[in-house]
Amino acid sequence: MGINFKRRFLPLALAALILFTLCPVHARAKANDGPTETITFVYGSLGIARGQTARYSWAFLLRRPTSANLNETEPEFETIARPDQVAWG
Amino acid sequence: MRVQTRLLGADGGVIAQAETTAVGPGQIQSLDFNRGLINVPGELGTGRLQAQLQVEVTVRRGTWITDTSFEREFIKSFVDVLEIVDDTSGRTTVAIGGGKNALSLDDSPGNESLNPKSFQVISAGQDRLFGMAPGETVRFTTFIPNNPAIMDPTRQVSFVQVMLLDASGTQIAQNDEIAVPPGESRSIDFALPLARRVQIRAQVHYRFFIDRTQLNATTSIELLDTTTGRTSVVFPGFTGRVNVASGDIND
Repeated sequence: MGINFKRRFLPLALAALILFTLCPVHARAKANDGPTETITFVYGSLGIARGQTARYSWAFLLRRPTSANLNETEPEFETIARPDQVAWG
Repeated sequence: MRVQTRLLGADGGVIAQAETTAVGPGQIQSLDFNRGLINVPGELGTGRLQAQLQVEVTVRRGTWITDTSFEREFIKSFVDVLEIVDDTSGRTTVAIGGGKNALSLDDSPGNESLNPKSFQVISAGQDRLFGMAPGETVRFTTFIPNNPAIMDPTRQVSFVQVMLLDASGTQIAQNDEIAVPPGESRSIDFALPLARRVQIRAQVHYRFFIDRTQLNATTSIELLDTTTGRTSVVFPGFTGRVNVASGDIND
């Protein structure tokens, strides 16, 4: 008794193909569905003389769950993809 | 996430600006404004440039996060510092900021009682950012206030440990945990064999008996010249009001 491969596996292959196609779309949709927030803050006045550099450093930290809410994990922020740019006045 | 910084003159005009995208969690990113590269005359004689730094952080948040919770989460997670660095030595001469993220308790499931002596394990999480150059020592000084509510003095002792991480988030140094008696302070020094300036993130961890419902520890950070002992920068002490929210440790 022969097996009709076309009939049996073609629908499965099609379904798998659709799934593989949809997964990245879903990921992209998730990354883009949130609103953009801008937080602005201004440091106090400072002076830099020749031979000095003002360096601003920042980091986003991993947070561990707190006692109050053990379900808290990492902040749910999405990256906005942009190439690095530096412009000097 | 995108971070834009602008150096503003006295008239509010943009003198220089720099922009960068995000790095991974726990990694440090820096933007430099070198006076020599800014083509503005500055003050007569010295060329000093008086300016304000404006920072804009743009992030996209998931729709499931409300406006109020977003702000809270952001403040907890974002840490920054502004340093004035000497171009020749690479040493920080002045610094503003350096750590403002909220405290967190590491008593998640599985971590409640790592120490058999009935201590609560605490990760104070008050990460601090600073730069360190060759020939410098960084000193962490922790003060633990006396708590008169605790009758047994042995249960007032608290323990402190500091970890240093580089810009990529890799741990580069860690001290052996030291005991700090109540009402006293203790210092932890790191003199790293550096070939050039590095940007560092410091984590201070506290452990204390469950008898204390609040630790109120204060840890200051100083950068000093290893040879002369002279202090060049001080990051004021941060009073860590660590609240113990669980009492699931048995003596």
